[in-house]
Amino acid sequence: MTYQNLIQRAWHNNTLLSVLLELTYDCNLNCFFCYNDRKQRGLPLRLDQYRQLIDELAEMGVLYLTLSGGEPLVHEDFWAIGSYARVRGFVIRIKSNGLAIGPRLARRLKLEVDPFVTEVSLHGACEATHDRQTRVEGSFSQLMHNIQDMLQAGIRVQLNVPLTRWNETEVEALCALADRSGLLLQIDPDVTPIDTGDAAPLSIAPTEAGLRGLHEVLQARLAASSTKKQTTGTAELANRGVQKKACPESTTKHCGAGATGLAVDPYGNVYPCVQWRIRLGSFHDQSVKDIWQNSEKLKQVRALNEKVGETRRSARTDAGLAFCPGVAQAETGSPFSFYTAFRLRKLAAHRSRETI
Amino acid sequence: MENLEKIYERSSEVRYRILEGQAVVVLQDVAQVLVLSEVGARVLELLDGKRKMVAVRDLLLVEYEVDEAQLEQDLNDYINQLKEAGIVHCTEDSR
Repeated sequence: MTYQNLIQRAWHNNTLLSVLLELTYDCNLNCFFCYNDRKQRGLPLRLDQYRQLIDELAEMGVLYLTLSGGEPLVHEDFWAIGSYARVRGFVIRIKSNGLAIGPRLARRLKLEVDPFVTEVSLHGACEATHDRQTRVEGSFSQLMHNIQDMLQAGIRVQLNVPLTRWNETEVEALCALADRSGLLLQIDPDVTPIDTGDAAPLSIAPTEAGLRGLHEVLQARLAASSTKKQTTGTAELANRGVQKKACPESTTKHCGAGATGLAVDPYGNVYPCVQWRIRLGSFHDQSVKDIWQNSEKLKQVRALNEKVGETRRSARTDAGLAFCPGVAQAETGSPFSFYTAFRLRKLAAHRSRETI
Repeated sequence: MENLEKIYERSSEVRYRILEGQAVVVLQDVAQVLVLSEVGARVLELLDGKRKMVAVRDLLLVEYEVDEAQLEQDLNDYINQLKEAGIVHCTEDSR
């Protein structure tokens, strides 16, 4: 059986494969458009609870574990949690802003946590743009140094670029920057509301022209890579292939939310996905296994997921356009409705097709 | 079998889980995913850096209906494939 077949079965059978832990909402940057609700309060999970959670996930057969934030490295127990996850045999992905990972921490990260990939956020191809978005002077320059330190330490680095109207004209330069160091690059075209539903971040969402520009650059790169085959490697398979990419053929679900994936916030609240913030339960009160097997809300999410899949598959003109029911629900109140970023991408793709 | 006294263990860069009765093996350094069959997954579980191959063979003889000579031959071939793929190594070799 191929890996793809196994993933299809996992989607069909609701087999938990991938979990994202938001360790903290604290951060050493101050990005204007951050989706985290930094005012959220609750009882943070303690280190012993994280160990218990990690044990439980390992016993459930979860393979992929993402440590995210906020900035996960500012959590006081980051090293203990990360190294324990390594001991329990997870493929670890770290989502960081990279600001603190200088040579010493890069070596420590490789040695103690050994992540499969460390994804760092890049907000522009130059200091002015990046620092404008992070609102921390010198953050671009520091990040550029730290990326080299991470590479030297043997860490696989991926650049995650949230596309905004402030950096949308720099797509080609961002690609060139990634190519120069042989880094993986992911550009996320969706600026989303804050988890409270506050739509303030959308004020810097990319413009339709910016999205069209992105579409054209990516098309050109795709055409170039079809003659020079690129290795996508496990970064593709390890997480995005499991959780975020379009539904594998022959399954009825739209995405992995609640089917193969879960997210846990710093206060132990469990959600189907980091973007679909329907609270399924709390690790303070229940085991994840109990939530996964018995939560009525999760059963509803899975049913919704199937309905979204059915709706999106019938919308043939939107083929290839990623649709996130979680963002739709946060912005419009319905997981089926078009949200701002999706409408813009749809328009941009349509105009690009017209131009071509 | 080449040497039933040898002990094998999974390489430190290998991450794996049993999924739907099969082993999904991620080789971190080279960014590859492999899928092993049910029996292959069981053997991988048994290669824990503590058991000698003779113990692995004996356990498999109890768990599966298989001829001993055939099992030894298959096990030998399989271990060689795992070694080549960098999934396991002999503990003596890392000393």
